[in-house]
Order: sequence, then structure tokens, then C-alpha cells
Amino acid sequence: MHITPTMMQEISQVLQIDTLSEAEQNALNERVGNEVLENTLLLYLNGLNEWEQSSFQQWITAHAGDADMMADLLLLYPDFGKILSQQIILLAQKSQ
Amino acid sequence: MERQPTVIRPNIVSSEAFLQPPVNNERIEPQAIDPAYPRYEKTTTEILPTIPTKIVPIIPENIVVMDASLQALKKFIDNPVTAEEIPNKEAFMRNVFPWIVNALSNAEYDAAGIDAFLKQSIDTIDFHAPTEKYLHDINRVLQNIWKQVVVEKGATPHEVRPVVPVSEPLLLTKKEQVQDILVSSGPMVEKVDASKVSSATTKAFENTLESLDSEPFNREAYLQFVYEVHTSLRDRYDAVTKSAQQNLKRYSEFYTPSPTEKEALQFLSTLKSQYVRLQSKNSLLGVTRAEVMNSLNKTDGFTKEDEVKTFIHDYLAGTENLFTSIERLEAMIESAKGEEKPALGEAYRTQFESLRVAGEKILTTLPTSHPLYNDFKVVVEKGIGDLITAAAVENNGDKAVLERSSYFIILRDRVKASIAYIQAEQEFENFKQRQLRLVQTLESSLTAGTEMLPQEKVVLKKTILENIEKINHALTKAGALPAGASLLSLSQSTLESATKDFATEREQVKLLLGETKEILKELQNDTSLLMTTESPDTEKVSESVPEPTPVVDAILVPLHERSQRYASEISESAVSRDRLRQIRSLFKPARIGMLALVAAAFGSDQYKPTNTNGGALSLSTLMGVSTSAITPELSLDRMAIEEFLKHATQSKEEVQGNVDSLPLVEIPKLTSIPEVTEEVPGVVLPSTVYSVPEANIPRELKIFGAADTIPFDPKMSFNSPTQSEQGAMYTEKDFHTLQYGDIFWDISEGETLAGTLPVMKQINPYFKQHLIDRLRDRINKSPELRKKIGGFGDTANELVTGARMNLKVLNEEFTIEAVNAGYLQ
Repeated sequence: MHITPTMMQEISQVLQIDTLSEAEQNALNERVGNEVLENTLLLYLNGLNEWEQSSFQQWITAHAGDADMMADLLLLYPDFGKILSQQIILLAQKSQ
Repeated sequence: MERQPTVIRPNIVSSEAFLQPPVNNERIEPQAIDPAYPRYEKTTTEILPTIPTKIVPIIPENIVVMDASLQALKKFIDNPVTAEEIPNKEAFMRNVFPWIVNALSNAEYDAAGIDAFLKQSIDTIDFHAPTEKYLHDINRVLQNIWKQVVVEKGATPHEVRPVVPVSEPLLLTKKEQVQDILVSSGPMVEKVDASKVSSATTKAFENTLESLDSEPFNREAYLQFVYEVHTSLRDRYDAVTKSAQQNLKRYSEFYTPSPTEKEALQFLSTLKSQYVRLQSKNSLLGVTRAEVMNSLNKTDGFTKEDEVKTFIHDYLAGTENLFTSIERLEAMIESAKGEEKPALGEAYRTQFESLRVAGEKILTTLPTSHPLYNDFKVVVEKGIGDLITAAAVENNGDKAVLERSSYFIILRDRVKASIAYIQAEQEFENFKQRQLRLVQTLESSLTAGTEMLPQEKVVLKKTILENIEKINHALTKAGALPAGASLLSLSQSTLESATKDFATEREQVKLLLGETKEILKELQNDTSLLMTTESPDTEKVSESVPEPTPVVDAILVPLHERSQRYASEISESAVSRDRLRQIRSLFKPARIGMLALVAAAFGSDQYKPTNTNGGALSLSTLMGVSTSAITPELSLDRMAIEEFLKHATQSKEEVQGNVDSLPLVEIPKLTSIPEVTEEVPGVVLPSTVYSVPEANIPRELKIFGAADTIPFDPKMSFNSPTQSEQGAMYTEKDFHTLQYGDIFWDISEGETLAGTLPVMKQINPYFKQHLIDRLRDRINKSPELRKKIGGFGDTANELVTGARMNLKVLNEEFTIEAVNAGYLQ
């Protein structure tokens, strides 16, 4: 599923992001994404032993450029996906 | 047998010949070579003994090394290899390697010289490094060889001719590109045609298909053929992944995998991705197994003979890559199996030696007045020594009574836990001291300030004093050691919980100090609220969003707070900061960030807009996810988000920002505490070596080692859970609704359904996967069992998303299987 231009417009309206410049929007997205990723990675890696962490890192390194990297990642490392989505949901709840 | 060093005579070729491209690229038959003029052709068999063992596995047996191709080498030097040209490092190296050997031969290196040079050069290449570094290494080595061979030894290249075609498949994804480079100045090896790339299995299937094609069209036969390809693919994949798991991770807790093993493990994950892709709708084949079967079964599917044939040929071609990869991994595993592994006893000994080093280090810093000093000393000096002795005895093949191994394991875990306990305590002490100093420094710097009103000073001092009081309280509580208690007499769980207590208390102290620090800073600067922990980098990012809207504020502020909270919660993390940074840098977070912002905005009624139809616009409609998959409370759930993430692709707007400049959660560097887990079959320990009071052994812990050696007593009685549960009603919590992405069988993939069943807690971790595999086989064979458990399709591997599985029944089946297998009494 891809985000359509219509969806993007609607999202922008909701967030009033369209009042920001493109660079600012990107900075905002990057920043929030990093916050979510940071916690996700910490929580996920924390549950792995050294060897598993290294294996995970190698996989990410090898597939970082893949177009469907995220899909494969969620399939191969379902726990990571669970934590990631939990983090996003937590954020949503926290912001209410 | 001693080998006579090979004396290499130089070939004299004019410099023109070197500069000119080869006149004749045609293949020259071996018999056409004048025996009086040696070409120095060597077969791999001759070369192999001269090559360091480390790189042997990457050389195909049947490559014949031909005359050195310095021209080709020069080509490399002039045109350094780029990442696009090396989609596969091993295959690339395999191509380049014979050239290097020949180049050295040309420069009059004898066998020993080649060996030494190769060892020196190849050892500097890190095959597991990221591609850029690998490229740098390989280009550097090639340049070095060029320098040695041409500049220093004055060798000159001569014409390169193919002698024997390579039948070993070159596994390059972009093999044509690479071969263009390799062959452009004269082919080293005969160009491999497409048919030779196919794997042995694919070839066998191709032969079958040919014979099918030659016979009168038989729809059923084709259907059977596809079924066989599928079954074979699945079985081979299962077998190879299982084999990898069994052979590549042995004693993984105790020794580092060899380069070959690492390589194989890395390749395993690639293979898994390939397999996953094949199963997905977006697979390279564009079809799933079910679709293939449906198409062939349906009368309105393929109706024409040609269509069926074309489809099946395409399908077979599509599976070729996977078969090839499977065969390659099999070869890697075989190669890894052939490597010498340390005996189990030796692995244990190494582990205990490192425990002893850690223990002795702690002992030197531990004050003798410490209540646990004497006990710890006994643990380090006697306990570990006994373990080493026991391991050594085992290493000599002394097989004592199997049950004794549980004593051994308990003792080992206790030693580990003791060391972890003392380490945590010491680390906490250091932390406490550092933090107290910080408070004192802050206090003194603040009180030295002159611009503060007296009332403010009073309030501030009071706050600081309160905080210090709290800190002291927390410290006292944490310092309440089990005084007088003997480390060895403490149960392992007590030690573990005490170790965790240190961590908890440290969190409290950290939070209190954070609070104090913040108050101090606020007052000191006499400004409005400042986020004291925000790094300059964060501020830099903030500057790029000069006037955040109220919505953005509403989202970012709690986000920041939460981030701070997590920083504390996860401060026990054993994740290295570098690793975290590296992994994170490989993600493109903008899309996740956007999703998070959307989720945050739509999670709140305050920002819920209306769409053009006047109805509420929910995240589900935005994401195009069916509302049934979304919980009403949140308007979004894990499934919906995962589904979104799976299909999220990079958008043009994303900025390739420098992620290093983004804020990083502060994680204190901690001493890693060894995990007290058991993943190895029990080691036999003679009863005389060390004794543990009987009362201290947890009765519920039944750890059995090499269970295969325990004959199962058919007369043994056990209470089968099924007997007592006959006719029992299952409650809702006994069922699990299968979700997309659930991992069921392979515990190496992380937490699995099967791996988390209650019975698994009683199984030696080393045998968990064996047990799972046994039951999987049984479920595979029994439709009744599949029906009884629920959730399965036609095989144990087919999980029906959304179906309900009775975990209680599954747990019972596992229990029965475990008893039958001798893993459980």
C-alpha cells in the first residue's frame, strides 16, 4: 500500500504541516522517526544477546538499500515490528 | 608428504603484447599447447596445498588455474571495482583469486612464496566488512600485487587463454557485468553460459521437464511436476535451514563462529529473504504456490497446452536462484562442519578461564572488609577452578552419570551470578560516587552565584537537600546487602534479583539527580523552561523548524518527555552506543516519523478532521486498512501499522539527513552482565569434584543434557495433561489468533509461539528446537492433529492468518513429545 497524494494532503492539513517549508517538514519527520526508531532499537536490541545483535546489524547492513527492506525486516524479525508499532501507538496515546 | 617447491620459469612476452589486446580470444585446446613451452597451468589440486586453509572454501574444485593474466589485473588497477560490479563478494573473489596466484607465479614466486604472500594479503581483507571497505581492501591488495609482480619482480604478462571451461556456477547476480570486465582483455575462463549457472537440482528438474515436453501433453503430469518442484524446494529449504541451525551455532555461547560460519550465517539470512520473497505476492515469480496450484487446477485457468508449458518453464526458471542458493549454503555448511571445533570440554574450559579472569579482576578491587569478600574469594579461587577441572575431565572423555550435569550447570550459573552481583554492586558504587560529586559541584557553583535572591537560595538549597536526602535513602536501601549471607548459599534467583535491585535503585538516583540538575540549571540561568538534557545537535534540528505549530508542539513535547523516560528505563541496556548509531543510520526514518505524526494526530479527537463527505476521517481510511482490523479505542493497531510499514516506500521528499546530528538518547556505559542462560548440553561432572547442597537445587528445574543417551523407559509413569483435561472446556485465553508475521517454529527467529509455551520452560534450551522439529514432523503427518490444534493449513508450516490455535492442546502435545523424546520426565 502506498500513500497517495490525496492522503498526503489530508495528513498535511491535519498536522498543519503545510505551513512549514519542505525542508522543515522533512526535518520534523526525520526527527520524530528517529525518536521512534531510537526507542524501538533500544528495546529490541536490549532483548538480544551479543551475537544476535551482531546478526541483526549485519542483516540491516546487507539490506539497507533494498526497496522492500522494511517489509522483509518485519517478516524476518517480527518482534522488531511489534515493538515499532507499539512505540508508534504509545506515541499516539501519549499525545492525546 | 613433503611437496617439492614448484619452480616457476618466467614467460617472456614483449611489452607490445602486454599493451595490445589479445589477438585471438578463441579457446585453445589443451593439446594444442606446446609441451616444450610450459604454460604453467596448475589445477586447483596443485594449488590448494599452497593456499591458506581460510580461503580454500571459496575456490571451486574444478577451476583450472591458467596462465597469469596481468592484463586483466591491470584492468582492475586502472578501473577500480565498484560496488555495482560486486553484488557477491565470494563469487567475485573466486574469480579473481586464480589470477592472483598466476600473477605471482609469473613473478617467480615459488609455492611457499605464493602461500606467504597470499596469506599476508588475503588476511588483510575483511570479507564481512561493508562493501565499501571490502572494495577498498580488495583494490588495495590488487594494487599491491601489481606492484610486487610487475614493478619489483619485473614480470611481464602474456596472452591469456581459456583452457577448461568452468562448470561451477558463478553466483553473480550481475554476472554479465563482471564478466565483461574479467573477459574484456582476454577471457580467463570460458564464459559461462546460462545453462551452466543452474543448480544440480534445477538441472534434474529441467531434464524431467524436457522429457515431459517430449511426450504427449499430459496436464496431470505437469501438475505433479510443479508439485514436486514445490515440495523439493520446501524440503530442501527446511533441511538446509535446520542443518544451518544445528551445525553453525554449536556452542555459540562459548566460542566465536569461524569466518566460514559467519559467512554461512549471513548467507542464511539472504536465503531466508529470498524464500520469503518467493512466498509473497510480490515475489520474483509473481505467483505463490497456492496460485500455481489453483491456476493448474482450474479449468478456466491455463487452457492451452502452450500456456501451461510456458508457465511451468518460467516457474522452474524462477526457482532456480533459490535452488542454487540452497546448494551453496549446503556447501558452506559442509565446509563449516569440516572445520575443527573445540571440544565441548575445551569450550567450557575457555569460558571458565574468562570467568576466572573477570572474577580475579573484581577480587583485586574488592575491599577485604566487604561482607562478601571471603565468599567471593572462594568462588573465584575454588569454585571456578573446580569447574575448569571438571571441564578438563569431561574433555578427556570421562562420561559420568548424566544427571550430574545439572549440578554442574547450577554451579556454573551460581558462579556467573555471583560475579554479576559483585560487578553490579561495584558499578553502582562508582555511579553513586560520580553522581554525588555532580550534585556537590552543582551546589557549590550555584551558591557561589551572587545574582540570586535570598528567598530563591533558600528554596534551592531546600530542594537540593531534599534530593540528596532521597538519594541517600535510595543508596542505603540499595546498600542493604544480604549481609553475612554466603554467596554460595544464596539461591541463584536471589542473586539475580539483587543484581536487578541495583539497577532499579540506580534508576531512582538517576531520576532524582536529573530533577535536581534541572532545577539548578533553571534557577541559575534565570530563564524560562529549558530542556537541559537537549544536546546542541537537537537544538540545531529545532532551529530548522523555527515556529512550530501548536500541533507540532503538542506532539513533540510529550514525545520528548517520553524519550527521557525511556532513556532511564533502558539504561540497563547492553546495547553498545556505536552499534545503535550504526544500525539507526541505515534506516530512513522520515516515513516512520510521518506515520508517527499521523498516528499521534489521529489518535487525538482534538485534531480529528472531517473529510469531504462530512464523516470522521480515521487513520484506517487514510491508510486504506479495513476497519475490522482496527480497534475502536485507538483507531489504529499494531496490525494496521505493520501493514503500513511493510508497504511504506521511500518518498522523494525524504531528506538524506545526517542522522548523527540527530538527538541520541543518553545511555550510560555499563558493565555487561553475563547472562545466566543455559544453551549447552550438560557436561558430565564427577560427583567428587564439587558438591552443592542438595537443598539448594531447585526441584522444579529439570535439566537434562544429552537426552539421546537416556533410554526411555516405557514403564515410566507420568501424568499426561490430556488425561486430566479430557472433556475440559477451553477458555478464551487458551486460544491464540494467528497474525500475519507470526513466527511459529524457528526459535532462531526470536520469540516464537512454540518457544513460549509453558512446557518449554522445563526443556533444556539446547533441545528446544529439536523438540519443536519433532512435533512439527508429527503435525505434518497428521491431519487429525492439525485439526485438533487448529490454525494450520495443509502442513505444519502453513499458518492461516486469523485462525485460532488452541495453545493449551499444543502445549499438551509438546509435553507428550518431550516425554517420548526423553527431554522431560
